[in-house]
Amino acid sequence: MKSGWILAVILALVLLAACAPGVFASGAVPVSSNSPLRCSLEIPLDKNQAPDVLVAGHSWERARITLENAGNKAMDGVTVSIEVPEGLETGIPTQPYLMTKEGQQIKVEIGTLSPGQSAELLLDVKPPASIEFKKEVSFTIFTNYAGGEQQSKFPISIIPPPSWLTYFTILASLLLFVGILTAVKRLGVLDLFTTVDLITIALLAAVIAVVFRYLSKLINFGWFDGLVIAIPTVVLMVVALQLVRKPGTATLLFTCVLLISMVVWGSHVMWLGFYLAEGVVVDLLVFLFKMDYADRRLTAVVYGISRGAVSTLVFYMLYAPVEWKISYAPWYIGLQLGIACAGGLVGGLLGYDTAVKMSGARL
Amino acid sequence: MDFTKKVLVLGLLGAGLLFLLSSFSETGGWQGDGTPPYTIAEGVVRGEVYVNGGHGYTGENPYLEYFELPAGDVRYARLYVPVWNYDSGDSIRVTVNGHELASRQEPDYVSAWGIGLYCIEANSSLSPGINEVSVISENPGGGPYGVTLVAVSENSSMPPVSFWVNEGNYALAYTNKKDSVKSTFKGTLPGKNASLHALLVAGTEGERDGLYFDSLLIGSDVGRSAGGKYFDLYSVSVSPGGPESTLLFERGDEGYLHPCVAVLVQESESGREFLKTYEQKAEKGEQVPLPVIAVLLLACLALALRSRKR
Repeated sequence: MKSGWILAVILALVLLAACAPGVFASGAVPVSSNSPLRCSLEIPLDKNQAPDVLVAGHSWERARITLENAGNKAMDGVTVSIEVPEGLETGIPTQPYLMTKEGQQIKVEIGTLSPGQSAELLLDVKPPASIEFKKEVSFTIFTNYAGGEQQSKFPISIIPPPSWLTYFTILASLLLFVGILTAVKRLGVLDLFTTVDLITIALLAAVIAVVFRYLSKLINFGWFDGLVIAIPTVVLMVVALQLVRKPGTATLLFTCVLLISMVVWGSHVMWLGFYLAEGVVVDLLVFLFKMDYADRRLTAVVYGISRGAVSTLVFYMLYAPVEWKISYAPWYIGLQLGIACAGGLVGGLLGYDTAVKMSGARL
Repeated sequence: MDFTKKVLVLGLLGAGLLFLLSSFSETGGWQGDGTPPYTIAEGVVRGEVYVNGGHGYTGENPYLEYFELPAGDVRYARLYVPVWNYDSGDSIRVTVNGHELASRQEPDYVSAWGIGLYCIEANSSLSPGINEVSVISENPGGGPYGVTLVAVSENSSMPPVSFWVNEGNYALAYTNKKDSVKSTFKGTLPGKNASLHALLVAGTEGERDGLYFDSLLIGSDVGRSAGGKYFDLYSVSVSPGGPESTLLFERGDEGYLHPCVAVLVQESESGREFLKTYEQKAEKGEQVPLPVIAVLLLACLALALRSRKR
């Protein structure tokens, strides 16, 4: 029953992620139904990113406009006029077509487009450094050719890097951190840990931060690279839970991982929230399962999956837009979420067996 | 199994793991500090030196770049493809004007956690006017920061110019505590006008770095993603102070900065035209980082102690 409830929470988290700003993209490409000219706009060009979404504060992003003669007659004298939305800076890269820019208007002479022929126009677009709220703007493309003309509008969204959701998340993380510190101080949680516990946590954290991180760069599984570090991390997390058996073990473990990464690899302290989140969620689950320190195969798996889901969501929904100004496509976040959950599942199963062997505490 | 045997097994496991890490580390992992940019080609030519391209890490695949070369015969051309997140097994395929030019796996220079630089000779593949270069990369989670072309075009109607093409890939990072790197140009003419082009990747706007030419500050916050995400091709006029000029990249506040290419083009007095290319420096395989060995040994020791306790 309880595991079902936990899975429901995970599902709710996934749904919440899907509803976050910037994840849904419009991407509609309006085309005049009777015109033989097909016009489309792609921005950004990275298929993993949300289409038609720009994050304010981002550097130059490349856009591609494709014009295709879908008819069976040649189109002569094709000229294009692109109206760039206010607030977006544009640059014209070197390309086969001569483009001229005047303010927010860009003009291009294409010439003749034979049947089936297409022309690709490249533009560099820079969103504003910051905006207060999410904004919808449109590129308008006027195309003229002998015997016809066409107008196409391409709406895109500009989202602020830390949206209100991320502000809220940052605030919630800070409150959580303060709450943890208060609880640690008042309840004397640290006093619960013996020296051996602390050494065990430090050693396991060192293996995760130093050895696994190193190994993850040696092995190339392409799309499934995330599993290289996710599975062994969950294995050691479950081992730590079973060996130490104290509230707050996971949070302490992942905090140590960050501290060691900072010393050895120079990781930035801004990742504290990321590491705290995965530790806190596991410790909360331990509490919800009435101090079950991954003593059952099922709880080990639930902890592994939850850790994977939370770390993936925090990374792609918060850190990617805030730090790198990237809004990933929903399908990509979903794929990474699936991989992380699979890693948590495998890691949980392996971790349970490893921990039982190490602690000799099979229940 | 008695304690001695357990310790022996653990020791063997540890040694085996270290051996595996050592053999893997030649093609992946922490690739070390990298190679400071050094002269790969220099010469004097009547004509001009074209340095252009790159629009940052966009995730597009293929990564497309157009170059409009000036009139004249292309005497020397080198394409530079810096990539993000190179892992062992990744590759790129470069096509110029529709014809495949090269297919490469390992980059010519790699540093840090897989910032790579591919250098590809393109002398006979380019022609005056528009040239299309397309790079298809097999690199999940990574890809090119840009495609930059350095091309020396001969044109007898133009005055002679001296040029130096320096290449490498050096990790200036807080991780390895490297704060500056130098690159030298030998045989410069003091006081003569010159133009300098510097290709850097991984720079961030607002994190102030410094670029010095013969001890003179010629740019600050040069690595600021001005040419696209984490890509900068900085061009500036300089005047050499002596027969050997030094370019100094200073990390400053930057977390990471990778100087990759520096090209110096100077008015020449010499009527003797020449082109001299140098042998490319081989990348040395990096060792397993000391912290990795230390943690592994500690982990083995802890396991042994735990086995003994039980």
